[in-house]
Amino acid sequence: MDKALYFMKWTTILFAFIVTTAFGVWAEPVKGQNVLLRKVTVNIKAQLLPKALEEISVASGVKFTYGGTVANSKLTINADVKGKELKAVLDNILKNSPYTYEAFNDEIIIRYDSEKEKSEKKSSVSPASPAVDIHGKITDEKGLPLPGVTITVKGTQMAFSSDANGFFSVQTLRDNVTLVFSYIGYKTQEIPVSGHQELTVKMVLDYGKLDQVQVIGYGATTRKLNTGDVSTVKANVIESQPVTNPLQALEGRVAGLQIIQGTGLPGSGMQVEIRGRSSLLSNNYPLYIIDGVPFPSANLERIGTPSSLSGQSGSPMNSINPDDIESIDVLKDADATAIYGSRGSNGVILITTKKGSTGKTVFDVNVNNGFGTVTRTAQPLNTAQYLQVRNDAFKNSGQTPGADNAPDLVSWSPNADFDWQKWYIGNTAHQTNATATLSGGDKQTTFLMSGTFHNESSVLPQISGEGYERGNFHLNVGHTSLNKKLHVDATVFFSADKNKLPMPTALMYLVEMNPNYPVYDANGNLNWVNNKTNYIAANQQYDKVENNNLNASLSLKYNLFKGLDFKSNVGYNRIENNQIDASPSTSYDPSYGILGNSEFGKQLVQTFLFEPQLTYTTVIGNGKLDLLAGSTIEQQLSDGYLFLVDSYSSDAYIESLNFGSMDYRTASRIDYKYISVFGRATYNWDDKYILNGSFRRDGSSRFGPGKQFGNFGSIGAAWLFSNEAFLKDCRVLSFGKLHGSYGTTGNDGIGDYGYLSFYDTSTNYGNTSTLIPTQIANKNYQWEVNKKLELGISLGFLKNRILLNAAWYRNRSGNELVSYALPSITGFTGYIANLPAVVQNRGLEFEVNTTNVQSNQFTWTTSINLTIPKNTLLSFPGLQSSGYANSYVVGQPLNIVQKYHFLGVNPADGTTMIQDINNDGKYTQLSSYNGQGGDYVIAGTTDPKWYGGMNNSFRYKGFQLDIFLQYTRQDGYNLYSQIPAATFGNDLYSGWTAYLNYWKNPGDKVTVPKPEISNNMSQTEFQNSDAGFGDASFLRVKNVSLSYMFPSGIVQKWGMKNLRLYLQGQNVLTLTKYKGYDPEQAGSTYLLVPPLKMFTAGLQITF
Amino acid sequence: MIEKMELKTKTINRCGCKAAAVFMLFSLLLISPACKKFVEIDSVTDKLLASQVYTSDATSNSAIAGIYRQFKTNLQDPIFIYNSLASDDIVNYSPSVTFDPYSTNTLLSNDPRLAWANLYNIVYATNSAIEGLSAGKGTSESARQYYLGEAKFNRALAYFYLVNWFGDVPLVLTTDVSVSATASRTPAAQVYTQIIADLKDAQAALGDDYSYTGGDRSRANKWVATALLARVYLYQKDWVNAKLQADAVINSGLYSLLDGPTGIFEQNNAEAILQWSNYSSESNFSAGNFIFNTTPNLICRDNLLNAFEPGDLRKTTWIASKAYNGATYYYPYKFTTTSPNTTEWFVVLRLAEQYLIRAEANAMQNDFTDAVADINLIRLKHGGLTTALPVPADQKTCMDLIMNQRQVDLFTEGCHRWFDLKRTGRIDAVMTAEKPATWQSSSALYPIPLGDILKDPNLKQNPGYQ
Repeated sequence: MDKALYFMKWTTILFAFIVTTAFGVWAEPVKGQNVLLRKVTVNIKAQLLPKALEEISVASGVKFTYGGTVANSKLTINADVKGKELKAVLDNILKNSPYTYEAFNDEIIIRYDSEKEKSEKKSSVSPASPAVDIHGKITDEKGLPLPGVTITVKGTQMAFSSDANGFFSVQTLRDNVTLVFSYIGYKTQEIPVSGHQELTVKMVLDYGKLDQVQVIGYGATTRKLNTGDVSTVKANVIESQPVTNPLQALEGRVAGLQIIQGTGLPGSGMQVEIRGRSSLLSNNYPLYIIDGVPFPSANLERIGTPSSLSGQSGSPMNSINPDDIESIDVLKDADATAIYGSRGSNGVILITTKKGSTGKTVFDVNVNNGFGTVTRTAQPLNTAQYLQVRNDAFKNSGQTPGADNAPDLVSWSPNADFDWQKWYIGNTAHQTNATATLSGGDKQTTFLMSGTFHNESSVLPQISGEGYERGNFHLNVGHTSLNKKLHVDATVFFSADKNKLPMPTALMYLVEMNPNYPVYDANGNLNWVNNKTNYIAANQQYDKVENNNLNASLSLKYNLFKGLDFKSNVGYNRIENNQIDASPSTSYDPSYGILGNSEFGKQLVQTFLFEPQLTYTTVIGNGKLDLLAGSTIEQQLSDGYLFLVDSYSSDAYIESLNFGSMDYRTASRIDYKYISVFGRATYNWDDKYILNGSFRRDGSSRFGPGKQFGNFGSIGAAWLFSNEAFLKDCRVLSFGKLHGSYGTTGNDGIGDYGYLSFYDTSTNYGNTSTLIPTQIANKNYQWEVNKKLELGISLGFLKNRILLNAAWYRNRSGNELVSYALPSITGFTGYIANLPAVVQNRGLEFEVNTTNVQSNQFTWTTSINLTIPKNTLLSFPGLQSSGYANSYVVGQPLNIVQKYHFLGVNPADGTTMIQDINNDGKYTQLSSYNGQGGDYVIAGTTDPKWYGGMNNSFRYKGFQLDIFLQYTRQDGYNLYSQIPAATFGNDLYSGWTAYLNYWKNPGDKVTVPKPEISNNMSQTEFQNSDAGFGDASFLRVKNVSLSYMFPSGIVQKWGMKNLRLYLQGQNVLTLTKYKGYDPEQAGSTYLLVPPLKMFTAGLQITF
Repeated sequence: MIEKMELKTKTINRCGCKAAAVFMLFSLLLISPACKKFVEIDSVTDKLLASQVYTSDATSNSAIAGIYRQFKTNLQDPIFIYNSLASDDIVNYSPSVTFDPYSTNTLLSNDPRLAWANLYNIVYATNSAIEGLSAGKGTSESARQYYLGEAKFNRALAYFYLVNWFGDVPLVLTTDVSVSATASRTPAAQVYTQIIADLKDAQAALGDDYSYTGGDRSRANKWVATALLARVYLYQKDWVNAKLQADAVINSGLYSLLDGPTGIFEQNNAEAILQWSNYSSESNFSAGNFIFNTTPNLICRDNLLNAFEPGDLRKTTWIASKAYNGATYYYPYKFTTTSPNTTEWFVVLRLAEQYLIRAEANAMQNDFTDAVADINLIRLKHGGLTTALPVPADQKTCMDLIMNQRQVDLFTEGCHRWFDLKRTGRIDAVMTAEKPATWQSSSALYPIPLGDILKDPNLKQNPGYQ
């Protein structure tokens, strides 16, 4: 109740505020105009200006307002008029003076204008310049009309824009002015004009895209003027990639952004990190904002899936249609992220969806179809190889194979040869995507609506109804009032998807199935051998996920006074997730008599957002000051249910709650509230010096009483030294900017209610309902604070044909907020706590864009990015006695991997030789650091040493070819350590040909120890050694996209506007020496379904 | 009239002035004191705050029932299966290879089936109950005393298993993390002192019948605490007190030995002192591992099968057999069903053990006549063995008879066989013979979970697991 009132209070205040101020302003222009039309009769003889104005005021009843310069003016006025309009009188008396006038409400403001004075001085020699009217037309580089170009009169704040047909008209009081023409993506032009003139302006494309708009927190700027570090990926880059999840399209494209696809299955989770891992255990996801509304960033955990397989959880971004995205802006440094305060710690990803544009109504259809297979696998043993290994294992263990311990050698056919890996992930996935878009609008109102259907199958063995389907609907309407004071933009997108796959947990076990396992018995029925799972049967267990996602946002902008805008974002996001994990009875060994069972999961996450803001722009001295003040009120409600239902009488009803018996149910409801105030000031002095400061005070319900609020802020500066006089005429250097920033951001990416201790209901005891403790409290934790420092330089050469960005950053995260692992003697395994540790991420980022060839026929552009990150645990007081003593080492990255040091295979007996670090004669699986007394050394880190991408884009007539290479230099887990590799030779498990170089006879100098059938210490130690960790670097042809745009003359005859055919390939070729599946997943200790190599062909028609 | 305005700078016009004023006003509005209120959560609706639990009789009752539920859910497999595998009761033939480390006594410190964390979770719940009830807010005095007694009994039971499985264990008596997170191992004797103190408190606080549970023998009363106390004294070799407490239970008049072995796990049977009850449709999931359905699961070892005297009804009732692949497999059949809605409940304490405790206490005090009388009573009642054994000539013979009787009567229950072998010093001899390939003396104590060794710097590992 309190909260509702609170909301109402706010809304009412703001509404009243808008209405009262708005009415006054609306009335103004009419009144002002009326004042100037009043008829005046005066006779002024040689009066000073103030005295003359007083007489006119008396005569006309109009109030004059002016400052000290006017009051002290020595200008002498003579005027004798009868019944003349006030405008004409004023024009006449101020004609040769340095004064201008402006009607405002019922009064007239007289102002001193230094520019006018200069021209007046000149005009004392020549005749006075009359007010001028300049007309003209603006075209793009091809001569087509360009609407929406901004035209400003240099030195004033007067701005005009071109209409739908490219025409413009500028009225100015003065002659000899310079007009500035600017438009996104085009070079800004300055054209001096004198007198009435008819102009035709041809805008020139800007090679370097320096004037490209960059969306930043609560505003927009350009690459040129940005003081912060923001990378932008535009729709054309996203569209050229046959991906389902927009995050996939960013892989390798942005310096400082590392994205790893969880698995190659549709709907897979994504690991996303901007500038490295700053948190020890808690959330490292960036903040996602879609059209101003925060979007859940954590992967949606699948019920029943072990958290260690988090790659198989779903990414919520999967419900966002890549085709609906206009641009993705990645905010990296403090200057860009501090305005998001407590949630900007891990960087921010801003997604802007497409909007309608002024002009003819356009209907666009885009259809494509494709197929894909997994990128890379490893070679499993065939039956002959496998049986050899098993025989050798028995020999090495000094035992004889028998029916009980070796059915594979004794009972099963040596001729059967089944490739489980091929059966499971060797299939071809198919994909279809169709989008239809209708857009258009006039001067005032624009709209865009689109619908997309996406269908995708997986590489797993097909089951009934298998695959991924998604439908998206997107609607945007924009409206600007006639007087251009009010602008409203409303966006709604809705998506519904369904994903049905065989239960994905099996892979890591399945791929090591022995190749001669008798799947079917003599009668052709599924065969169940004691101790083994029949995966053909188990594959009938499936996981069905349905998501509905509704995102609605309304942004309103109202110009209150000159320079002052009121803005408001209202947003609502609703994600509904329904999941069924079904295990039909036929998936189990019938001898156990297990009936079918299902898990039902339901999650509903709703986010409400209200963000009132004021922006104010004014000119102070030679510079422009932008001010922003705003507030965020956000509430997120999450509801979840989980039901476990078993004993289904028939598998046919397994997706219904009704036909089984309820075994277990649980529900959760989480209320997250968030409130903040923020402000930003940007001062741009003559496009040379830019200073930017921001502040935010945040309160979050994730913290306990007294710990809820935190302050964050940043300061950023840029120096555009290429605009200095001494470099202005430099022919080589066309652009130069130095920028730097420092600030703090926070992280509240922890679970809710951690500051309370809880009891929860559990299963009944007898007839009594029960309560058991479920959480132990820590009331003392607070914000984790990330201090970010950045220095960067941007250089443009040869009219910006070569653009270089380089940035050095250093982020230090302290007061680390973690789910602190407790010894279980406390009763619990963990709670949320701050750790007095400092984690540093430091790095260099480079982005180079070049226009190698540009002619009418042929264009070749290249863009390269490179990131060299370094993660270091700087300090950790008390590490030695903490629960992290075996995980972390001060001075090393967080993601270090500790293992035995492998010294090779003992040629004498085939056992693994390990370096005994502590010389105690045995091997201990503990760190040799921090006084742990173990034998583990640092084998390396899963952090990349460097990574990046290179795109080459060629355009020849209607053809466009894009080739994108992605490269990563890194280490990772290989086949020798990825679970369950240690079973080689043991327990009926198969292995990989990579193991075949194992020890067989005394004297063998090999790299793999001997297999044994039990107590397989050599293999276990081998798996736990650094032989299982090594180079996983790769160079990948990530994307090849070829398209052909039919000549417009031809397609117009066919009644179309555009016709485009395209071929796209994703993950086309991977070059690596990695021993394992896909090197992108080398950071996982488990085998995962690799990403897909996808090829699609498509057709786009625009009417 | 013309008004003169003295403006300080020429560039700020009327608009700017007004705009700036609005901007300032808005900014002030933003810094509203109501912010603080907004981020406070009204209430948590899907969980109960710990501070609200022990504030009424009803929630206290649910929380105490929760402790038994934790035992029932998390300890039935460790107590009934894992420890029977570790001893010479049964061997693993089931598909679950994860039983093997127990079966072969080759546990590693990272074994997920160590009951350590589950027991300390119960210790936390009991400590939380004792703290909450001691504060005495909102509960009636009689209920408060009773629940306090139950909490202490359960804490004693948890520590009894901890100290017997792991040796010296940290004695945590608080919910305060800053104390418990860095606890070191307390000598076993000190842990036993606490167990005895808790059980004596429970004896004093609890009632002497089952009226509190409406007749169900599923929660502690005075005799439940007494029966465990008898066992604890026996393990402490305090023969006098062991006999005293066992006598008290036997003479309470509430319990009697069953006639014949049938129904030993039946709910509320005459012999049962404490059972973990089932809710209406619950099944006993441990039972599923014992009962040989289509393939052999947990099979009786020859040591157990050969321990029965000829004609002992217990061998034919509590052990069943089935042929598979040409061989006959014998499996424990104290649980007779795996189906839901079963009337069989887990037995935690029962009367036969009290007779055997008294017999042992008498034997150790050289009263062989009374000792053998109790043994003969159980042989007669449970085994249908009418021929009484003669009074043994010496203590060793008498003890052998008692140990044999414990083996055949208590097998696969309550970790009896495993603990008996350990406390009588017979374990090395028996296990070396039974599992020559893998047995080591250090296997008698289980490893402390590696996770806790890593997280608590003061916690040291048991020998043989470093």
